[in-house]
Amino acid sequence: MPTVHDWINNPLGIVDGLFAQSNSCPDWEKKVVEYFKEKLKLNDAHTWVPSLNDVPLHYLKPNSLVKFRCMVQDMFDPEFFMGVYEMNDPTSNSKQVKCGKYKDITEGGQVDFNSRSTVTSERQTFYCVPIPGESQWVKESFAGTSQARVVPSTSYVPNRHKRSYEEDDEMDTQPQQMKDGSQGAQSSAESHGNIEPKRQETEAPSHDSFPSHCTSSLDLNFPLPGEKGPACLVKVYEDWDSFKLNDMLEVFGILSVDPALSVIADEREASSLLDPTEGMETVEEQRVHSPPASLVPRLHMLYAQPLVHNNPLLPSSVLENNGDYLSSVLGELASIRAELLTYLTHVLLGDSLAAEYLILHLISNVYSRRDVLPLGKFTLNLSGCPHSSPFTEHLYKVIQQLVPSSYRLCMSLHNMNNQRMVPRKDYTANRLVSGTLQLANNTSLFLDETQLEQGQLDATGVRNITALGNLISWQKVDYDFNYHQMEFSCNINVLITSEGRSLLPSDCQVHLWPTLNPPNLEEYLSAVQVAQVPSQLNKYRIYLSVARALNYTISDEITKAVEEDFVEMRKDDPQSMSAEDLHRLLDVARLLSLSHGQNTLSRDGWMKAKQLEALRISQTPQQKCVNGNEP
Amino acid sequence: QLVAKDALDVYIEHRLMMETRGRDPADTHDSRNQYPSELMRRFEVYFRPPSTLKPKVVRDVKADSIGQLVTVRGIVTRATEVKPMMTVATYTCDQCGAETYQPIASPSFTPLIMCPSQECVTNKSGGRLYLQTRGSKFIKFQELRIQEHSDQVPVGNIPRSMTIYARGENTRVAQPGDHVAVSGIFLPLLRSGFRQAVQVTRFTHVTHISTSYQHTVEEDFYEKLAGSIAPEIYGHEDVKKALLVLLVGGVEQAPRGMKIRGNINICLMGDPGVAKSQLLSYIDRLAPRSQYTTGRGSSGVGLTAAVMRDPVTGEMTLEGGALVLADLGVCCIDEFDKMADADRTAIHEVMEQQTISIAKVRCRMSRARLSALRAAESETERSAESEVYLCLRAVRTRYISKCKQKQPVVPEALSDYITAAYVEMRKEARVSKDTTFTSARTLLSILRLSTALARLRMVDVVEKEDVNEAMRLMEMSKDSLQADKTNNTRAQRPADVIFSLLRELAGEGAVRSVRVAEAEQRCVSRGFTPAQFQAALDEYEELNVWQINQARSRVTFV
Repeated sequence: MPTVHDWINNPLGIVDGLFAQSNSCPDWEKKVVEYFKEKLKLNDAHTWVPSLNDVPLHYLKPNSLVKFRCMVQDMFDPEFFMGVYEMNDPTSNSKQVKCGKYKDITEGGQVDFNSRSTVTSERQTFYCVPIPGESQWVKESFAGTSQARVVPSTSYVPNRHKRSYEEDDEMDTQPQQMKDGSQGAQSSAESHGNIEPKRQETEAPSHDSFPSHCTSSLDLNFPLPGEKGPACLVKVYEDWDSFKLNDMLEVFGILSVDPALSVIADEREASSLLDPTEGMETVEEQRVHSPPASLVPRLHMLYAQPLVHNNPLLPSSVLENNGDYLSSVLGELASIRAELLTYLTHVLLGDSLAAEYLILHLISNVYSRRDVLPLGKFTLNLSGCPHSSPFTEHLYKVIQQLVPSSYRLCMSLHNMNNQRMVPRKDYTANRLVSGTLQLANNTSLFLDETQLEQGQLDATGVRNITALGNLISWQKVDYDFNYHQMEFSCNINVLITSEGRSLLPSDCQVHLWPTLNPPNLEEYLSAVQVAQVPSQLNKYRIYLSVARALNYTISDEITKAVEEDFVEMRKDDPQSMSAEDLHRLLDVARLLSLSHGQNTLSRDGWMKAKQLEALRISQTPQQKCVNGNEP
Repeated sequence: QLVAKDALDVYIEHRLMMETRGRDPADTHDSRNQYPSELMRRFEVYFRPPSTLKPKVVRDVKADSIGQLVTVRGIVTRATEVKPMMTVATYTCDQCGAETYQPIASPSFTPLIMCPSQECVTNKSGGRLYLQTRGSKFIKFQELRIQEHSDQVPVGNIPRSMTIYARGENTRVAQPGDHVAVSGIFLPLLRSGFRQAVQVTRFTHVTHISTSYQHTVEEDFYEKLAGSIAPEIYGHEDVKKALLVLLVGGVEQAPRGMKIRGNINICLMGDPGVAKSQLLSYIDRLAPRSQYTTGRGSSGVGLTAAVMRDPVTGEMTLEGGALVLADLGVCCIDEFDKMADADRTAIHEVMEQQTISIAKVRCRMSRARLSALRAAESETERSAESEVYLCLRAVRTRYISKCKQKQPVVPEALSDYITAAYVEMRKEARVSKDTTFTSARTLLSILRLSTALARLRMVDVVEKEDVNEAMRLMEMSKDSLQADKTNNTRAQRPADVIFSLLRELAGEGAVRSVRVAEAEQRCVSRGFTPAQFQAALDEYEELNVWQINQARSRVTFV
C-alpha cells in the first residue's frame, strides 16, 4: 500500500498553495492542472485514487481526490462562480483574498461582494452516470486493480468483488446466498465505521432501503432501467468544448458533498411565494440541477481522460502507441480465435458458420462516416432462434461475459409500447430525459425479437421501431427536443435474434442450423459457460477489443482485383451480385481479415470472405417478398 | 394634462391635488420631490440594438459579457405567466395616516414596519405601516427561457439555454416555440442561500425582443405561400396551391354525431419524373406531423402498427392498415398504384371514415385525422375519394399551424351561391363527355376547400372569393385530367374559352347579350383570372365580335 498522499487526501490545500504563490498571476490555473497531471502520470499513481464506481460515497473523504468512470448523460448550462473573492475575517478584522475554484461554497466569514479583486469565472456542469450496461466483470476488474486506501474506516477492506453495490438487476446471475453474504459483509463493514446510522440509511446502496426515504423520488436518469451506482455533477473548468454527449470519461476531480448544497433547495422552496423572480426555477428543475449532494455528489474536474474503450484488461492508452503490447497479443491471436470459435460454436448449438459471423459482428466498429453513411457497422440478424426458450437469454449472458458493455432489449410488445428509447428534452426540469438508446460507443445492443408477440403497436411503439431502424441503418439517434430533433451519431453493435427474418433492417442475416440437440437446453448452455475458466475468458475479451481497434487498409492492387472480380461475377449473372452485396462482401472481408489479426486485405482473405458469404446465402431460407418488409 | 390610464394615475392625481391644497401657495417647494421618481414615471425606456449588430449565439455569451448589452438569438422554450412585480411599495400608517414609499430594485425586499414620519417619530406613537396595494406601483414581469437553434449547436453537444427577464411592454411578446432575438443586459444572478456565494446562474434583463415572424397578411400572400412550397420546382402553381390547402385543411364538422371530415386528400398523378416525389417529400418536411412512405416495398413502419406473426416461419411482420403516426397530420404515400391491394383498402378507409380498423387483430382505432397525399403514375385509382385529381406535367410551418386554429364558417348568404354553382356544375357535367363525375362529394369538396382557403386568410367567415378559388382549383384539376385524355387537340387560348363561355351564356335569342358581372363570375369559377377575362373582353371587342356598353356592364353580340 502506498503512503497517504497529500495530493489525494487534500488536493484543495495544494490548489490554495499554488494560488497563494501565484500573486494573482493568472498562470496558477494552468500550474494546478499540470501538477495533478504530473502526479497521475507516475507509474500506477492513478490506481491509488479511490473510485466513485466501487467505493460507496460515504467512505470517501469530502474534498479528496477521487476518480469516476462515467458517461456524459447531459450538459447543463454554464454557471458563473467567483474565481477569486475577498473575505472579511470577523475575528481578526482583516481582509483575505481567496480562491473559489474547485469549490462549491465559500469558506467562513463575510464575502465582500463589492471588492475590486473579485474575478468572475465560468464553468460548465455535466451530468454523468456510470457507463450504461457495463458488464459485471469490467466493474470487478477495475475494482480489483484499485490500490486506493479508503480512510474513514480502518477495518474497511476493499473487498469489492462481492458488493451488492455494483450488482446489476439485469444480470443477477449470482445465487441468492452469495448476495445475502455480500450484504452481511457490507453491514459489518459499516458498523465498524464511525458514521451515524442515519447517513448509512440514506446512502446504503441496497435497493430495498430506497423507498422508505423521502428522496427516493429523485430520478437519477440512468439510460437503462435497473441500473445502479452514483450519478455525479461534474464541474468542468477547462476546455469543456472538447467533451461530447455520451463520451466515456475517466474523471479525476475533487469530491464535494457539502450538505449545504442541498439546503439551498429547501430554502428556495420556502421563499418562492413572495418573490416573483423565483417562479421560473421550478421544483423539478431544482431537483435536477441541485439534488442532495449525498445522492448526487459534485465532482470538480482537475483532469479527465477520454476512454476509447472500457476494457480493464487493456492499457487505456491508444493501441497504436503501444506496439509491444499489440505484437504480444497478435502472437497468440490465431490460437485464441480458434478457441473462441469453438466456444461460440458450442454456444450456438454446433453451428460454426453462425459462430464465425458472431465473431465478425463482435469486432465490428464504425471506423468512419461518409456523409451520412456509417462505414464499418455490421448489424447481424441471427434468425432461427427458438421461440420462447431460454436460448437467447443464455446467448446474451455469453456475450455479456465477452464485451465490456451491453444491453439486452426484449422487444416484447409491452416494452416496445412503454419503454422510452429516444432521449427527450424535458423543458420543465430543463434536462435531457434519458432513454435506452442513449448508450456509449462500442456498446453491444442485443435485440431479442423472439420475445415479440402478435398485437398492436401504439404511437410510441411505432416511434421506437423507427428509432431502432434508424439506429441500425444510420448509426444515429434523433433526440427529441420538442421543437426540433437533434441527430446524435453513435457506434453501437446491434445483434438481433429472431425466429424468422427480423422485421428490422440488418446488414447480414445468418440462419441458425443447430447440429446439437441437447435434451435440456438450459443445463447444456450453463455447462458450456461454466466450462470456461476466467483466464480463458480474459483472453477472449482482450482479443475482441484488440481486433476491434486494429487499423485496416486495402492496397490498390487488391482493390483492382476485387473490382475485376465484381465485374466477372456480374457478367455471369447480373442478378447474383448487386452493389449492396459487394458492399457487404467488402465488410465481411474487412472483418475477417481483422479477426485474423491482419490489417490489410489479401487475395486469400478475399476468397475466404467470398466462400463464407456463399455458404451463408446458401443456408439462408429464401425470402418470399410478401410482407413488404424489405429494408 | 395626463389622461388617466389606470388606477394608479388617478391615485397619483389625487395625491398631487391633496398636496397642493394643503400647502402654502407661497412655498415654492416642488410638490413631487416627496414621491419617489419611480412612482411618478409614466414611461418606459428601452434600447433597440443597432441593426448592424449581429445577434450572438447563446453559447458565445460568456463571462466577459457580464454587464454589457448583448443581443442573442434563440427559440423560446418556456414562458411564465405575466405577473405583477412591485417597483414602489406604498404604506399607510395606522396612527398618523402618513404615506411612506419604498422603491424596490432587487428581486426581494423586506417590508417596512414602523412609520418613519415626523409625527410618529416625535410622538413615539409606534405607528404601524400597512401595505397599500392600490397605491403601490407594479409593472408587468415575465420570465422566458430561450434555447439555441439546433444549427448553432456543435455536433455532439446539448443546446444551451438562457433565462430572460422581460418587464413592462416587453412581456407577452413571445410564446414558446417562437424564434426571437433578445437584446438585454447580461447579468449573473447570485444563488441565495446559506454560505452559497460561489454559485451564480445567468440571466438577461431584456430591453428589446423582436420575434422573427410577423403575421401581416399581405396582398398576394396566397400566391407567395404557394410559391414557397418546393421553390426549386418550377411551375405547378395550381398543384402547389392545392398542396397548401391540404396543409391547412378544411373544417371538420360533426352535426348530430355524423362526422364530415375536413381533411383534404390529394392524389398526384403524372408521368414519371415530373417531381411528384419531390413535392411529396417537401410536404413531408413541411407538415408538422407527417409520414412518408412508398407503396411498393414500403418499410411498413409508420404505415402499419399491427405486429403479425407468420405461423410457418415464425417471422414477425408489421401489417398494413394503421396510419397511427400521422394522426392529425399528413400521410404521404408515394407510388400508391404499386401498393398491395389490402393496404390500399385500409388507406381508403382512413381517408373516407377517418378511422382505422385492423380486422385481423380485431382492434379499432378511432381518431385518425389525417390527410392522405398520394402520388401515382397511372390512373388505377379513380375512386371518388380524392377531391382533387391533379395531373402533372409537371411558408412557413408556423403560419400554417396558426391557420389551423381558425374555424371558419360558411355564412347563410353564401350557401345559396354555392348551391347555384353546384347545380350549374351538375348541369354541365351531364352535357360534357367528362369522365369525371360530379356528385354530392364534389359539393363537400368545394366546401372543404373553401374553408381551408378561409383559414389561409386567417378569417372566421368564408367569402365568395374562397368559394370561387375552390371551384377554380377543382376545375383546374378536372381540366388537367381532361387534357390528358384528349391529347392532340389544339390548346385553346384562355380568351377563346372565355369567348365560347360567353356565347353559351348569351343564349340563342334575337338580342344576344349578357351581363358582364355574371359573365365574369362564370369565368372565374371556371378557372380564369379577372385579368384574363378583361383581356378577352377587349380582344373580341376589337375584333368587333361583340360590343360593350359605356358602363362596361353588358356585352352584346353583334
